[in-house]
Amino acid sequence: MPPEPPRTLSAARSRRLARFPVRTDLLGLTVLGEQLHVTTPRGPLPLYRFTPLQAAVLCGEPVPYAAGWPEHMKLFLYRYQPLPTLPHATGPHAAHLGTQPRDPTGLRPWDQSTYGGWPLYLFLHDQPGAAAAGEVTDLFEVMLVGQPALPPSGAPGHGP
Amino acid sequence: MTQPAQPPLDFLTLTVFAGRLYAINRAGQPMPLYVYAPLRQAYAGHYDVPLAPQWPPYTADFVAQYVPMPVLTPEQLPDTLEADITQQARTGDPERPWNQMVYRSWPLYYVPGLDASGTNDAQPAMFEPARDGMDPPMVQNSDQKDTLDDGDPGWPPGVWGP
Repeated sequence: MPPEPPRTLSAARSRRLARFPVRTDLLGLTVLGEQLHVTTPRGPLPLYRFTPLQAAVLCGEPVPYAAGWPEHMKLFLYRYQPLPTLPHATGPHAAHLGTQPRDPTGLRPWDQSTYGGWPLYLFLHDQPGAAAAGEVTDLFEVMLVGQPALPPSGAPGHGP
Repeated sequence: MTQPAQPPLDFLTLTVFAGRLYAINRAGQPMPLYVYAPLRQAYAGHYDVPLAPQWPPYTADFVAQYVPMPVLTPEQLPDTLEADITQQARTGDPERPWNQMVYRSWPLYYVPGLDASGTNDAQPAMFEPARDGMDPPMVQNSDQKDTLDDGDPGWPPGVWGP
């Protein structure tokens, strides 16, 4: 699928997004082993997907953004940061990139990168060049380049 | 009527090794015990943690990995731990309805198939190893913020999930 062009933001939305600390050191995509990473000046960072999303999509079960989750799970979820868009990404893997909107009232309202339709996340405790530390069985797993695409759902975006 | 998904394992006793709590199964193997760490924030923020069947469906597989530790008899408990062990009735959980062992106000869980050598503790901010002498969840930075009765008739909840 061709990369999607960056969306044009309204002035009000641009002002609101400016209040949030969106990372600006994320450059492009690379693959280590079979794992998808985002490149930064300090080294690559692993990318993650929310694994229950496929079953949720197939069952028509909407997955809310983090702000809509039960209170006791929010601290955990906020350790997974939605990957912002990568406007300068090039190469064969960039062809699978897409964008989804997020909850405009949440704490992470910026547009989020997707890969094969899967929303992508960074784990806040990962270090550039180090092994992925954010895998949690049946919740978050590293994104593999061979991962089948997320089935289309018609929803504009998915949580968490 | 919903039936229990699977009865709990049969354990012989508890033990402490390297500061961590383990349950010893009938084969004599130590199985690491876990607590649900967000209980600390739940006490501080005065919100409950529902039992596993009330969790969102897309988290069901995750939370089902952690099985409530069944209660042992006083004779099965080491003297060093017995005073800190209580139990809670899992009222409202048709899938895992047995009484659950509680250590220093932390409900305990084990993971079937996970022995001491295969311990996976890489679960940030979720399930953490149960540790000998750990502060109860209502203790925040060594200060007990919430007692068992602070005047709110709905607090604390009668049962802590998951």
